[in-house]
Amino acid sequence: MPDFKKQSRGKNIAENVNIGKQKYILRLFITGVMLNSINAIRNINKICELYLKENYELEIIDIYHHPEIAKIEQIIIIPVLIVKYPKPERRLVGDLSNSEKVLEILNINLP
Amino acid sequence: MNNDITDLLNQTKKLFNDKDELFLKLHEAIIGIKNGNVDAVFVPGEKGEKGLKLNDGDQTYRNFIENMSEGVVMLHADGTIIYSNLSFAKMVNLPIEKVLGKNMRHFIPSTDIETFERLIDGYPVDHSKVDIISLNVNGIETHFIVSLNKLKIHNFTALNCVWTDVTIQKQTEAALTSAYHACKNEVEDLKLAQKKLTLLYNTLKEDIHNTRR
Repeated sequence: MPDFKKQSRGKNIAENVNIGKQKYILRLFITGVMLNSINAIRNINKICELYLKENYELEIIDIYHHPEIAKIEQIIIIPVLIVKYPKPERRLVGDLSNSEKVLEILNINLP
Repeated sequence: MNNDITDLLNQTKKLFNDKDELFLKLHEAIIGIKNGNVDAVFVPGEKGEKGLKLNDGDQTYRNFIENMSEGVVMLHADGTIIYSNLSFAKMVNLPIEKVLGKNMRHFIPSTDIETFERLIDGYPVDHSKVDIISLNVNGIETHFIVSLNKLKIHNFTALNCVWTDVTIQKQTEAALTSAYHACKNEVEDLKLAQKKLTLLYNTLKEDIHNTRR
């Protein structure tokens, strides 16, 4: 387990996340240009750039284009972020403005 | 008998677990709706799943834009693609899930970045601009007329871009220009040849005249 106490936020945390492991796999379900969907896109981008750097794969799925995926994933509320990897799968509903909650479901502990 | 009881117990346990899971999902959904930070509820229907938007009215326009052959993207002021129709995703040869959230600059070659920055900067809301920009698609530059409109949505300024592929027109223009220059060179060569022939004719005519004397 990386020793976060010895490292600063941001870049160094990103370097220690998932070293030698598979990337984070994230799916964000949105709908059109609704305000919360737009905010969710911008917020997840910020968090990924700050804490995950290149250790992630993000798919942003508009349910208009892929209602079948929404059915498979049992989506009820939009926007919703699904963390497919690392397991277990976790979800967070809403515009992702609460970064602490997002980091919690990403299993990222800040020093 | 014991097996039946065990099966029944297992089924009951599964039902309780499913109920708990569903309760959690619904609880989260209700909290989300109450807090106002969700956009839509997605529910199963008899004829397929239906998304119910909590604040809607735009479905007709959405269908219209989605069926356009031109690429349509909406950008946040920082260039993040917050909306794309399928035509634009096809233009850049990516699945649409990989287009949304990217910065528009990711798709523009360095030769046209300055044009793009000029296009998105320095003019007011509700005004539009048009220019020709290339997109870098798998290392191949394709040319587009871009019509850009700045507008206010929700609480920020967005950029609505319509991309019309003019690659074929550009190629035709290049071919016509090349053909024109080739023709022009041929005409010059023919003129030169004609001059030489005229000179030769005059020389021969004079020689014949001198011989007859």
